[in-house]
Amino acid sequence: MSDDSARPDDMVADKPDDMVADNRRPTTLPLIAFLLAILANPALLKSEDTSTNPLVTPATADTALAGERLSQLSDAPVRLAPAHPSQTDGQEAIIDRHIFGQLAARGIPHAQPCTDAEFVRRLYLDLWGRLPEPQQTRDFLADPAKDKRNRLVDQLLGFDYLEKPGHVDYKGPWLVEKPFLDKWTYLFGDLFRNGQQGNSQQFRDYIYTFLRFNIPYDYVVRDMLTATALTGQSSGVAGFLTRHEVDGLRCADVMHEDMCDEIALHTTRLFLGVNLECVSCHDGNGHVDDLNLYLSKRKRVEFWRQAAFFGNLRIFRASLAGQEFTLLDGPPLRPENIWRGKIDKYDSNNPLTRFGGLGYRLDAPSVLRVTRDPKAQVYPEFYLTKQRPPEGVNPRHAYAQMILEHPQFAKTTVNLIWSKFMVTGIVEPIFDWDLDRQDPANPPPKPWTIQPSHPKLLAELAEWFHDTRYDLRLLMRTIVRSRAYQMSSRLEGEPTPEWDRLYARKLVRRLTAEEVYDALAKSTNVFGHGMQFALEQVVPSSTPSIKSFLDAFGQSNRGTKLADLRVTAVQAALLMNSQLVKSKISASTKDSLVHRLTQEQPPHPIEDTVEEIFLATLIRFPTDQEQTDAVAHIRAHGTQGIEDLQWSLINKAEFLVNY
Amino acid sequence: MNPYIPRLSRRDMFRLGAVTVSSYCLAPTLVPRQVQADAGVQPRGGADVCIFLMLKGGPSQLETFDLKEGPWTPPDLAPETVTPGFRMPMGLLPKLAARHEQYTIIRSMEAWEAEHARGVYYIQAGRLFSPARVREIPSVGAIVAFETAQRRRDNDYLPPYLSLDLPSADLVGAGCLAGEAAPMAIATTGELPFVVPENERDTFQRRRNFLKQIDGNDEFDKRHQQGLFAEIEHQYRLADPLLNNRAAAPVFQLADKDRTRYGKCGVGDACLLAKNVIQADAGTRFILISHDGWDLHANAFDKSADNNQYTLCRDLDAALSALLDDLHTQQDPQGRRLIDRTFLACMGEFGRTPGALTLNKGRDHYRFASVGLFAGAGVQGGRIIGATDDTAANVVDPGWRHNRSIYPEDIFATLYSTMGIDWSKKVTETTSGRPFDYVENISPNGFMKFDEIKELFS
Repeated sequence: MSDDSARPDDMVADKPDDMVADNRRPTTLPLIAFLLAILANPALLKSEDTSTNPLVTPATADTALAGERLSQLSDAPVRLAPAHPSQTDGQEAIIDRHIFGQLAARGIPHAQPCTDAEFVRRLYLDLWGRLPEPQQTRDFLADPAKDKRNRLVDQLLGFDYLEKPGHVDYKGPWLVEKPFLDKWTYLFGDLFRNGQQGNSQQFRDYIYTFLRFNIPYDYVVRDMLTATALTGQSSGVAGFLTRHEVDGLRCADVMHEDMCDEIALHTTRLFLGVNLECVSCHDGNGHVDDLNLYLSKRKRVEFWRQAAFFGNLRIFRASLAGQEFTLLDGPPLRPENIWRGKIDKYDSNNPLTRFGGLGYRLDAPSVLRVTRDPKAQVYPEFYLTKQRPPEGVNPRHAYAQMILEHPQFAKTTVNLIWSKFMVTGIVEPIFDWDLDRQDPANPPPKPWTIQPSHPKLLAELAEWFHDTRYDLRLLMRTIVRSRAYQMSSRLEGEPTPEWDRLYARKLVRRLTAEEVYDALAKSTNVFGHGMQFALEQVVPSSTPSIKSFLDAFGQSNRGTKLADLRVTAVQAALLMNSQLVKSKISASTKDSLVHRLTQEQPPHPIEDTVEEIFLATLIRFPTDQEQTDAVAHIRAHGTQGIEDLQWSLINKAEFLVNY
Repeated sequence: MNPYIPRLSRRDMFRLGAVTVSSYCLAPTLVPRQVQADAGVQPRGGADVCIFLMLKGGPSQLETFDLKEGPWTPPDLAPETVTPGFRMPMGLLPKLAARHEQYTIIRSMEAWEAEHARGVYYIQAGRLFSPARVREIPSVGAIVAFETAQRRRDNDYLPPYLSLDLPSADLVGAGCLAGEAAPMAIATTGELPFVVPENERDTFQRRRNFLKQIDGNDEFDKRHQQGLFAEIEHQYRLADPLLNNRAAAPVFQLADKDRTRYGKCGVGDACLLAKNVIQADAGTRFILISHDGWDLHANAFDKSADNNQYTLCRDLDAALSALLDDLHTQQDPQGRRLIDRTFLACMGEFGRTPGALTLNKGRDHYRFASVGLFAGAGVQGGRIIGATDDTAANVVDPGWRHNRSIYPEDIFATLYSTMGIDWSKKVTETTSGRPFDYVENISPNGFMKFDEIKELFS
């Protein structure tokens, strides 16, 4: 069975000479001026004179594709396509230079390159969250081409669009196959906390779409922070902010300042890497002195000033009985003033309800935090730079701009994506940066150490990420093409924590709950319970049997709990003895791999059966000894022996691990 | 149509702030007491195992064990005087009413929290949630498991701390205590993976042996990262005794007729499993059961709703009555009545707003009055401790030796005491270096001396 590819019928170009990947290269204009230029003068988009159009640069002789024409964007919508990925070939040398350079400088040995079998499994899991099929594995392993790994990378990332037969007119990364989009949509769904709310489907669609069309990440962040919607039901992008609303103790209460706090916390964490949780309740001094140098100097009032950017945001629950939200800029609703008897209707002259000036009130009650200090001075002020929004600019638009302009944005995002492939971030924990410990040219006082393991690598990658217009897929491509990523996880000797910190070998991690569930389905070809793949779901499934399985494997609930990758005895019991696993490996289950192998005519030789099961389950060929043992077992036990084999492979530790 | 349940922002357990002082709260009616020098306590003992039945969401005290009749009472609650001073809603909890001699109700309870995530944390950890310490603070169950580790026998095969039906997001673990004190979380709605059916035993054994054979030959050996692979191997070894042990199967197999007796519902299955576990007497010391759904902000008495006061009480009534019956009639392998060595506490994280229903025809969170039911291990039955006013808004009679309401800390002190644990102890070896007391004498209100509720027993 093959996975559906995206067919962008809705994006069919009317003009035959349209869709060519443009050679957009870094501009020298600041990003905002660039955007404003476009907004101010759409005619820029129509220009064929590439010397004046900042969107495109002339094709150079280096272009891998001969005869490439520039995009004629006349009436087409703005295409935010990346530079053709081949132009970034070799960029991975940045990574390797730093990683192997550091290891050599410290005399630390490093692992050898991983085998092809290890690579294909690792890449599919990291990019698609899914196991490859036996034939795909066979083909890859048998392919003699020297550049097969790079070609597989481009295939999984959808960058092989030019080679797709019959699709000459479609030259866009949106031809990436669905599993890639599902996995990353799910991951961003976790990060953006797309849990149970009225517009979770729409929000999911928004994430899926921006990934599909590879919209630059900074555009997405700005989009989400400045979104407005009369009803959240029709607006996916409004989903990001509306999820921060905080109810009071009564149904109708909206805790406006608590909501601002939540937005400040989440956005500072997610987009700038700084975790303000502790200092949202008290000064850093006396609390986090041993934990975070930067935060130990911070005052609580700075947090309120960060939250104040959203003081004039109004997230209104339109209907008491549902999860319908309105997301607008406007006077905050203060129902407590109504039922406290202070006012009986909205009145533009009443300072309690009037728009204008500060919408973040220190005297407002809180259900989440210690009482605020009503005597403090609060106005919107950006935490990291102490910038204030310009007059007349919507504060949250200014906030978005300040985030995107700050180097932390690129660094945090690079670190986040890096950690998804390299298992640990260059800065760990990935959302607990200590900003006073980042610069090796300006080191912190002892005993503090520099926090990133490779500060220069981080800086270079972040700058490159910015220059390539925050192209997430290009970043992924670069990481997985590197030798550092392609190292084996095996390394002789006694590993020290320093070895792992410096990536002397590929780090391993347990498969996530969704990956486990999907791997069981894919390797046995048995789907069921009304759900194909867990990674396709909009929100974590609520079907009791699936939910309890995923919960046992530590699934994030997108609210109070992050994904937990620990191993437990209950997980072992589920893999050994659950109905879910037993039915999938059973010969009597109609669709199962075991069923097919035992029922197909002409009958398969035992050796072939063994090989097929190993390839399907562990994405590799059996060793000679494994082959011998398996064949002997099947000779002795027939069909049951074949079931035993797949059962055993599922219960081998390597099934559960991304190594 | 599900009743509307407004969400308070579900806080990331790793991200909550420190002390919450909501300005909605009334001024506390208590005077903080000075900390007394601790002379050590004499735990009363008597229990080998405890059950903590959590009524998750916060049950309405008015419509459960602290019945208050007024214009808000639907007639089909059918209140009756069970015994002088004790009226019960026979339309909701008839079976429990009939068994009133078997338990004691406390009506003078209060909670410190009025929000779910923090409240549920409080009644597991016995203290205020602190983001700075969340990773090292163990739950009461973990402390019980830790303290009773010395009593573990060689042939014990069940985990000391079992959690049933509480999603892992809400479950407080072992913190800085050893891994074996960590809860084993089982969902009774899913399948119970520890039961190897009798007719599959041979197959299971054959497969297990084949796996060992295949694993042994592995080229995928210890040169790969030891940490994770060793951990996987360790957990498989922990699971094996349960799967291989024939005695474990009847524990986890819930017979249909038993399930029917227990009400054929989620909490019924959990209580039945708890009973089996206790009867097996195989090393479990603390069982946490979560009965979810009590958070009825709207349409509490709407019978067309999937989840309403009637369905919740019906399930609790059936499950808890059957559990009490079985604990009274069944004996462990040593011939002791199960009830005599089991301490049962049944309560929620807070109560609900008193008097009339809200505009949404439900009740909101309320921490100034709540109820609990206690039984077993010497608890005197047929008793009510404490009293509230006519609308169940305030505690008017604490009902015990101390002139204040009863808090979760007091209940946990009692629980530790019946388990023979000196609850004045503190643990000093924590990751942060800060010690924690089993029962903290620092409440959100300042210093307070908590105490076990001796009135339950005499």
